[in-house]
Amino acid sequence: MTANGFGNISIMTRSLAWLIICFLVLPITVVFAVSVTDRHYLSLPESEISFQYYRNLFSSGPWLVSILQSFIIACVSTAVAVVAGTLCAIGCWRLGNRASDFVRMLMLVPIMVPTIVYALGIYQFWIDLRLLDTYTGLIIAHAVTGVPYVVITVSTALAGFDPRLEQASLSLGASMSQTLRLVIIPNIMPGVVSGLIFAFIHSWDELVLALFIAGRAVFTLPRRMWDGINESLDPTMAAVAAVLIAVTVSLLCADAYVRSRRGN
Amino acid sequence: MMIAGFVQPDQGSIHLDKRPITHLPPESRNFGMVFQGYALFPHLSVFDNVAFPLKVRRRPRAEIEEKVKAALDLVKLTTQSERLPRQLSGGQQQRVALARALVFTPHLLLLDEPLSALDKKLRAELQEELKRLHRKVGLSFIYVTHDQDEALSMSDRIVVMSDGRLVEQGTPSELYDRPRTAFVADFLGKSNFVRGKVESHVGDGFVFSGDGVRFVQKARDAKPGIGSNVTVALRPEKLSIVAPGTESDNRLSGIVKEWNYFGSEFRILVDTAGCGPISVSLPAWNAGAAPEVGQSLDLGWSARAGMEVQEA
Repeated sequence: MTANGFGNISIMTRSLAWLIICFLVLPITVVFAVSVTDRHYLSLPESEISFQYYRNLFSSGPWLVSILQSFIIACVSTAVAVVAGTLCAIGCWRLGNRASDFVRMLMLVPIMVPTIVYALGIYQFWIDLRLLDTYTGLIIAHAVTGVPYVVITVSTALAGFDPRLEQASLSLGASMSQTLRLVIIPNIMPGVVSGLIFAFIHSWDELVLALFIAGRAVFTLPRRMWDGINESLDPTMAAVAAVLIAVTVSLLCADAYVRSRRGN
Repeated sequence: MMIAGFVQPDQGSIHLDKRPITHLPPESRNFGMVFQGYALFPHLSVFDNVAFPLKVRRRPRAEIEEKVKAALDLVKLTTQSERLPRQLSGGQQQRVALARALVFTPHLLLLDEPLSALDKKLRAELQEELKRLHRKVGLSFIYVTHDQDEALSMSDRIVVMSDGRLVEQGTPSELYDRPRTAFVADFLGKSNFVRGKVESHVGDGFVFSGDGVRFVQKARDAKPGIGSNVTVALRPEKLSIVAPGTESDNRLSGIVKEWNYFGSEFRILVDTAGCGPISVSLPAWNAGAAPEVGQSLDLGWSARAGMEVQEA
């Protein structure tokens, strides 16, 4: 694309594009406005801007526990998904035959099946395994549904990886595990990091699975928000949403940064 | 690829110094390899690329430093050691690949068309450098190339392969001056072919005729039986234009069809009655007698100039 690639686009097209962007983004900004309200119910600030609900959020035990739980679950399930997804993508890439195409397709099933159907299946399964309402249960479920993101991004990175580098590494005396560690992984790192970020976001704001298979001991942040919305329309909710959005946006910025570095 | 261990042979075996290595994985063969596209690690500096084979062998840091310096010195790249491969020119990248393949003193160096991506002048320069390196490190090099001139000028021994089969092997001069097959006669340098039936034996050679023209040819080993078919390959530079009436073992008349000037030589294509188009190269310094297109002339060659070859 040339430097002035947008130069000859008509004003009509440009206005339409901005309109769509506003339509997508503006509802989110309302959350920020509501989160600094000075009133006792969900509303825009009337006379002054107040951070009382942020104070409330960060001093309330149940909210903090949920944030911590969500964070732990997201971290562990992301770690599992990244390792499994990366190894799966590399394995498929090395085989490079029809079976590996099939495996790659199979890996995408968790995001193709409607989450509610998937959650129902896991619920049935977890009853027998006694994994309901445990960290392990939710971590496994989130890790499995996080794997597709990692497989997609790592496979994309591998498509641009020169297979002769692997041959070069082996011919220079490196074992397969050394080749993996010293040559393949460093070269596909941007793809791995992208997958990691998406898997983390996926677990961090996942509600349906959390509703089905957890509820007492494990009470994630999205789950508590759901309950909060159903029971009392407390503006603390808006503060929580603002924090969630901030975390997600900063992760996406990190992803964009990693991708731009790959471009150099 | 089979010698390097990336592909398993369907049959047969590979030996190094009489030791079978057919089933040894690539990382245990200790062969240096230089790839067509260099295959340098893009995320590592020149120094780290060259240090890679030593690092995976877990050598002490001081030894790595010393050996990498020596290897970079060998390919004259000492000043570029902190750069990344993409900051180097093609020729420099090739030198890094060479240093990386030599730094761990391998049993053998494999080069898979290493210079094919470079322009002609740089290629000639690196060919000289490879020969210098070869003399200096005293290692066996196996060099795959499609460039026949490169093969002739660089090798001690050439193996000509076609469709995965070994056609012929020998020293460059054996293969160029006395090829056994028509394939090699035509592949290494150019050849004209004259075909015919043996009529009689004379001295250490034989007389054969094709399409009514009679030729004398020195036999390679045993003289072919009378009545058998023979093929004789003729190098363009071993043919000359002979004036009518002068003595020559063989003589063939024709009309000049094409005429090309190459600086050091002329190449002409002569359409002959019995043997089709024959290409002849004449040294340019002798150009006083350069023939013109459409001119009739006689080509001549000695009975020793032809090469009796087998058809594939």
